[in-house]
Amino acid sequence: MSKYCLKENHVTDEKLFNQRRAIIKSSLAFSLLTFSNLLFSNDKKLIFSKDMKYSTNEETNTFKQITSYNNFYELGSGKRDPMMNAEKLNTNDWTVSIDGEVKNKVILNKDDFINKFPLEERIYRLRCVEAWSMVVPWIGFELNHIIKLAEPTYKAKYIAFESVYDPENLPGQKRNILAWPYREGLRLDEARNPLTILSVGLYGRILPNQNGSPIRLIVPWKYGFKSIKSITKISFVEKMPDTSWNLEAPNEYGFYSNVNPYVSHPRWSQKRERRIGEFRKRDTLMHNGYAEHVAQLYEGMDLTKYF
Amino acid sequence: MLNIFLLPLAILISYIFLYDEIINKTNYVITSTGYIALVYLVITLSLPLLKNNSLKVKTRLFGISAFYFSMIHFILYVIDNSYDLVFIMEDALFRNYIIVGYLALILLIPMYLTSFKYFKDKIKEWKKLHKIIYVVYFFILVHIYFIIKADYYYLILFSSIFLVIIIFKRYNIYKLNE
Repeated sequence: MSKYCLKENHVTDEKLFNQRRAIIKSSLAFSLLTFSNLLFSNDKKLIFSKDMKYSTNEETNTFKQITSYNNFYELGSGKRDPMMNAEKLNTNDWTVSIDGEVKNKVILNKDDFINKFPLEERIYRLRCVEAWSMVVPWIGFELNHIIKLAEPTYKAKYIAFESVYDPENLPGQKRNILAWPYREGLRLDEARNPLTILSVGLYGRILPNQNGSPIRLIVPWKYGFKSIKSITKISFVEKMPDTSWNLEAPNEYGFYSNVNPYVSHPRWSQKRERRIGEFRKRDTLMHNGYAEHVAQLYEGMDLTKYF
Repeated sequence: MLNIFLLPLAILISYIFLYDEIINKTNYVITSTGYIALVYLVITLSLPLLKNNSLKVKTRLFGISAFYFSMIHFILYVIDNSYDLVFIMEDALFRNYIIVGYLALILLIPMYLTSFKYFKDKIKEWKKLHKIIYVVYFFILVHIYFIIKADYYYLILFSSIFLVIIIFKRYNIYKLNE
């Protein structure tokens, strides 16, 4: 008798019972969705070739050093802030518009950067203007690929880069620390130099947010602040563009900001640097050791004037 | 002295060696000892305002510890530059924050010395001399101003504290005169 005595709450509602197949399908779809999210999360391994021509064979800094000692004022001005606030940078639905004096105006999303261009590993020295340095195994591609894609007109002389602007979520942009959004620029011939890359990853993985995800610039012969993070806009322009640090302190940060031990900054002598992880400082090299590739770009220029 | 100087120093040193999240250890110790010295100056200035005699005794210890932390701050800076005297001289001549740093450090010395009975007996006016602390504090604010790249948060914080302390002192003097 008790065998057939089901309580009301033990009986599946007829409506739900009739939708049973749909429910299973939707839950399957949901799990597929989460699976695909996992695929595209930061743990995704990138496919890339190893560059031998421009990479240094110096010992690279550890993943931990590279990802927990950062200058990324959008995420806070302390060295550990970018790591602590990393999740506040929202990189979903990220697009980069490429415009200005070009034949082809393009908008690329973050997957385009991973799939459309031949990724390679470039192990570069990174010299911060604050007199410290690291060696980082970046994954990226030459900026040349973007220049070819956009086809700049004869008017284009410079490239202006713009970083993310999201004061609602980015703690550093809640105050006027710098002229937001962060802006940087290169002369077109500097941008065309094969050393100049756009990076999408490091240590074989997608860039962590604090390192400028999803796409950032790397210009290894210039001080670190030139290598703008989390780019949203690349414009080809005729006139020398404004740059954020130059607007903040024009006598301290010039447009070129090439690593130069002979031109000192009002706050830091640039003769030496600390390689992160080492105790004794080492001598800073002209153009951060990349002079053979870039010195010709500045021939005839007074580098104490055009610092 | 044990609680006020050696204990914080021991905590700082063990923190750097045991906590591997600190990437640029040398810079971290230099910056922290500087800020500890400044916080101790704030305490030295504020304790007499509390009009609590048992705390007043501690004022001297905080002042002396502030001097010790500034000295460590300075010595680490010298070690960090590999004792290179040419380099250090160049820094002293051309870098604003280094110049005011030296000024603050040098002005701390007479105050430190007159914290001891021997010099107190020799210099009867030592209490007046200790007014230099305001000048030192001001130089430290300038020191911070010159080293900050863009985010003036800490400068504003310590300048406001300085202002509040001065206003309180003025107010107390005003009340005494009434």
